[in-house]
Amino acid sequence: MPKETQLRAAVALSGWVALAATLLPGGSPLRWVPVLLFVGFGPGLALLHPQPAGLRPAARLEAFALAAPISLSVAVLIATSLFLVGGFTVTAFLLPLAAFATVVAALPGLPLPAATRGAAGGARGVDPGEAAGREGALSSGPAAGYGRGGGPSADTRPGPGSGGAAGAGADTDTDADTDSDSDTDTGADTGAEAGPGRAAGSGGR
Amino acid sequence: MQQQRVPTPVTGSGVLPAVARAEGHRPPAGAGARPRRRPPLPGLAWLPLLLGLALWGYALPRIGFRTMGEYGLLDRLPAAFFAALLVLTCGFLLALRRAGTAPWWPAAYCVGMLFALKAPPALLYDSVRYPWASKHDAVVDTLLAGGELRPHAPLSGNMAAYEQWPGFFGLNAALVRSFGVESAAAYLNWAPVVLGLLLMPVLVLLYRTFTEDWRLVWTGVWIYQLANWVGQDYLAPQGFAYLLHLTVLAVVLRHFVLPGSAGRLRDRTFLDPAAAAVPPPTGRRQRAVCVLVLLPLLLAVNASHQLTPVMLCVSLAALLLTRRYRNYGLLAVACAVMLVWDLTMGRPLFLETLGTLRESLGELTRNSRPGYAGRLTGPGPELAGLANVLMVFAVAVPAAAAVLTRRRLVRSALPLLVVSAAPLPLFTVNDYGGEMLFRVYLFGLPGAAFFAAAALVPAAGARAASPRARTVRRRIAAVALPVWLVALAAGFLPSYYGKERMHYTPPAETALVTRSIDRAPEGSLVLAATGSFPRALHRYDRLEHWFFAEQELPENERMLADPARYLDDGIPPGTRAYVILTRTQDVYTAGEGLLPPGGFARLRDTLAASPLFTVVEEHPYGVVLEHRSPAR
Repeated sequence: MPKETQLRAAVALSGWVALAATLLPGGSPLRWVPVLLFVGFGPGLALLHPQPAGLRPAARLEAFALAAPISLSVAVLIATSLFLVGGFTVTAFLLPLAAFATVVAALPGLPLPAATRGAAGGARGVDPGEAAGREGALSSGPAAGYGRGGGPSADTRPGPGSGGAAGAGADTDTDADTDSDSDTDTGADTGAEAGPGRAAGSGGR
Repeated sequence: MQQQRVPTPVTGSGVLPAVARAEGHRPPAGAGARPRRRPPLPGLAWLPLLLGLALWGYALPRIGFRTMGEYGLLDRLPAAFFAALLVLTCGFLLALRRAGTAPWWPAAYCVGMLFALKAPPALLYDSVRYPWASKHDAVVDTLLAGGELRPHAPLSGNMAAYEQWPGFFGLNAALVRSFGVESAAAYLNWAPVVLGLLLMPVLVLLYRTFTEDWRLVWTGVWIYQLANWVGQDYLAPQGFAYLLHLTVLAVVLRHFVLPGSAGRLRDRTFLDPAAAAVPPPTGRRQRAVCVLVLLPLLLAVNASHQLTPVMLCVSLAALLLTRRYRNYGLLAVACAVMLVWDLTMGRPLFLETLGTLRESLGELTRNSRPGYAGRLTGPGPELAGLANVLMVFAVAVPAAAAVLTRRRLVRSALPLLVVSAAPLPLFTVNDYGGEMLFRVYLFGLPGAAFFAAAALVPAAGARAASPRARTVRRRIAAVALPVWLVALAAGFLPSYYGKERMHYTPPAETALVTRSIDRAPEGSLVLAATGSFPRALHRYDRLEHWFFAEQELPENERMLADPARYLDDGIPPGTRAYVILTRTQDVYTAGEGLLPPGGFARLRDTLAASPLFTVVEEHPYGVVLEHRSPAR
């Protein structure tokens, strides 16, 4: 089974495991640990993580950092809504969360720019000055934390905000990322944005 | 097309990335990567961590929290505890030297330090730390007992506000039931550790947006942890909402850069050697997707806390000052969510606060005053107060130095500076119950810690006038960083644990309060000198409260002249009233200067002897009295 499918399955399953764990005696670690892990991370990871080509290295940090705040926010909204209508039960709380995680785990991950190849909204959305700015950036490597990777297939993922965006983003340079978490970088950027500045920039490093 | 990997060294780390070493690449010239000395052996990176945690584990059962005196936990911490912090600091400094290639070691030390600093109460205490945290436990209990929210039901002591911003309590109520535990008290003391752990990657994300130097990132995180003595990370809506607030800011700073706004900030020859280039710009569609991603966070912040959404909107508005993040749409969405919540769920308190704004507006000194009204009294609280001030300077001075000396870093990290300074004007608006100072400090801390780290960790590739100047600068930094980190760790302890006698309550006292409040019939009035005692608001939806000493000292001195008569006059006729006076209230009112020295004992003795009150229960740690009402 591909790693990505395993991950999707694990995230989707974690909600149902947490729900099943509530059948165990109260306060048992076998009960609260899976519930805590799922409520704290499950929905967020399901939303952010599944990318067809895996997350780019620096985006892994982002998915990890955002998973808990997003998961807990979703849990806050569900719990508060249930208390507002006076319909709170453990099942009514965990079931929608588990169902939500299962559904979104099957969908492509949220297209946060850092998770996809490019960052700009496509060539149309970028003015010439900006393009020049990026050319100037060539000597610096991409912005910190925006490690690329995933190879050529990374820009094939669907979803709004990626697609045409891929070529016009920070991937204008051939330098590997300057951060050490970019070791899977393949420098796969072959887009039209690689102009003369690229060579100059790379050499300037 | 697969291209060859050409890794570059982490700016300022002085070492090559692992990939480069593995593949035998040489570092490119001029990258500031000349290794001067061999870094410590990687195999030994774990040794100080293990030693520090072993010392800490040895010290833990020897912490005499049950016999705390004037200095709180300070003089009850064994030498091994201090040694553990010192060893962890040394280990962190060693790990920092290899942060570029092995950023996980500084991360491990940061986690270790977080545990060492904040886990002792969670592991040791047999009661809730911070008596006022038990108020939040009471809100969760009430929510679970009633099974529904009544945001507009009138409740005594501003408790209705908790049901008007119920998100955090709803979450905890759901967790309590899902865990199958009796109440949130089962895990309440772990909140600082859990929130610290969740906050750490968000901080890293935030700092990585502005620097490529892992040393700077982890030093910033380390300083943040040591400077986070302010005690806002207990199980409370503000700690949780703060995590969401920083997450929103991290996403904004990484994904909301407008096209065409970076200018020279992507030009490596212009940037500070440690600075990261401005994140790639995003198109309108991508930013719209990001707003959708942020929406649950914005809703949860607004559902959980009153002040944090204001801080968030102020921060987003301040970002408009930078050309890079001029996103009116996001600010409009954040403000709209806040207004809708304030005018629907939170309407009663919102309108009440608006009504008092006219009085508090512009009262800069009063709004920035900490606590209620008193002056810290006693060696422990006074030392804690002094340590607090010194700690603020210990972060603010290097941060200011970095702002002045590392202009190029400031230019690229200007948005972080702007969002950190944004909450300052809130001093002119409201005192937030004596808490505005702490909140403004907390919201400014991520940026302050980052710039303080920038002063203490100079960039390896920085240009200097001469080699000699470079050497001097390097030597100063080599001394300043360890000294500063040790000083911050030393300052953290009195700041966080100096007033611990107010924060730890023996279980017998908690049991006395619970018993007394359970006995009180519905509609009774509970009187206490202050609300800072365990389970003060147990059954708050069925009782009324009067914390009669939470006022200015002169008024309290008038009260102390004849406390029985003073209270008798304030109790509405026909109301059954109970006075609960406990040891924790004594410690709190004395330490915070609400009552003069000996005032609490006088209060207790006078009330016990008064014919207007009957003693129901009396113990060394507390007394419960019932008011004799002639009308009843």
